Amino acid sequence: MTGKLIFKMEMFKFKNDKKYLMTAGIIGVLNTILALMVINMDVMNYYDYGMLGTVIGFYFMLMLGNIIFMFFYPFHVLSMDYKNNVIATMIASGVNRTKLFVSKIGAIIVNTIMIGLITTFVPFVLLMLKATYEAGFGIFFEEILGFFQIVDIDFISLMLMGLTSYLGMIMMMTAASTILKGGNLSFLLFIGFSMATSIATGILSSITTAFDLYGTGLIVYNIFINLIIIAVFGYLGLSAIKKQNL
Amino acid sequence: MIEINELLMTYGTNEVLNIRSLSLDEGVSYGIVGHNGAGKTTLFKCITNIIMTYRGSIKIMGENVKERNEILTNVGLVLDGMSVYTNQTGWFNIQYFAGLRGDYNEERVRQLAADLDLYGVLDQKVKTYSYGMQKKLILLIALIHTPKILILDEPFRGLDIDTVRWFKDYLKQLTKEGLTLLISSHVINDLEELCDEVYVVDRGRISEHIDLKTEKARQYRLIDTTNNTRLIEILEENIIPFEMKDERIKLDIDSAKWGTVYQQLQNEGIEINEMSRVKVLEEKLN
Repeated sequence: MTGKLIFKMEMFKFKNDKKYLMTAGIIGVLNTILALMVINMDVMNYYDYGMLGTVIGFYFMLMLGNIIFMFFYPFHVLSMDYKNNVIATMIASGVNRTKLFVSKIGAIIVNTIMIGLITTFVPFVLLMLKATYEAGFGIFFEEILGFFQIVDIDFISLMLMGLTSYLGMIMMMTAASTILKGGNLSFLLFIGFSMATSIATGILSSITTAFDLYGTGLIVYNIFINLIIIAVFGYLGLSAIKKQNL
Repeated sequence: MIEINELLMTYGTNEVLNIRSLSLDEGVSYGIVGHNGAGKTTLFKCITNIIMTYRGSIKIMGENVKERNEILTNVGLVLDGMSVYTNQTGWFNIQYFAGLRGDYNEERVRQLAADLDLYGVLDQKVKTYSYGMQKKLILLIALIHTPKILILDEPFRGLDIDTVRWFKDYLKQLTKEGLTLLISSHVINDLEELCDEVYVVDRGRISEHIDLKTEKARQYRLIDTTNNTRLIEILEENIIPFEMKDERIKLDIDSAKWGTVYQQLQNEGIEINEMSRVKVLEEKLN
């Protein structure tokens, strides 16, 4: 049984998770409606307080919904096997625990990206069209790149930092969920991990001051910290699943 | 086929399993029996890596299961309390678990589903299934890949008579083809019908090994007469071993010898109040 096969079946599970795909679809539609509202802001009557209040309220509710869903989805994927008591059946079928752990993380990353695309792709395209409509496509991107040059930040490093930060978060979620066997308290443990990590990185931040790091240097430092977080929580999660009685 | 050495499993200070050595051969059917909490299910869970915190070694086909979990693709397992994705359909679960092993054979699935009378409900969500139907589905999943070893914990509980009949015949056919079967059951008739050997587990230890080929037919008599004292004298005169059990006389003798004793009782006008036959195996298992 290869890791590729386990990953393939995780994706098969994702495709059949209709309830969550539908929820993602609904959030995507609501995001699109919000994007259309934002695009038409210039024709809105700002003295119509009722309308304005509705738009602002809708905006905050929807953002909250997006955040909850994006956090909840990885937890749902991670805890599904434990909650259904299926993980024992999987292990007894010959699934290697290490391969299961790695494949699951891979599947969560791919699935979360896909869910992110479902919920934000259309609104993002609409907003980009609006942004580039007046100034033109080339000028719009020149302005963005110009901004990065001014603040001395390498765009690729910034992307890498975002990616490693996201992976670190997934590792923390996976470790929390694995240690508590998908229990409802996993989320609290994840918050605990996040707080502990914040304290540790806060203490380590003196390094940035000592070396006078800023711009791209600061980003490289953060990437390094994120890699340590990935390694620590990856090890914690893997150790837990390898020794766990199911 | 399965080699267990120095297996020790504890929960805190409570010793759940302590098996020095157990060797299970290919193509043999083994019954694992014992009281509730004796350690049967824990043993099955250790063999299939569901429990990992044991000491000692378990080898399947020469491979240590802790180190090479993949060897379990040769094993089919049905445990009480095992589950599948209940929010999904039967088909989904079959495709998922067969897919994990990489050997999904739809034709075989259809045949097994038809034999288990499950075919008509495979499109429905598992949470709508009865206990027996869920058990049939787990059974089907365990059988899809034609395992070399089949581990069944109380497999017939919750199944209808027709399915039990079919399943027993199917198991007999598989064992003829070389399947190694480990089955736990409290029903002696099931064990007698399916097993070659039985291991009795008592407080985590193997307390007895019974070869059913020799022990199956053995029975003893429990007798109560109008004059038990005289019966004991007759037995002593004829040098027939006996023992007292619940104020009755327990005799482990063949029909010919019993005929002699019975004749003597008749001649002396001693009447039999009660006589029952108990299988030797049944006594050992209770």
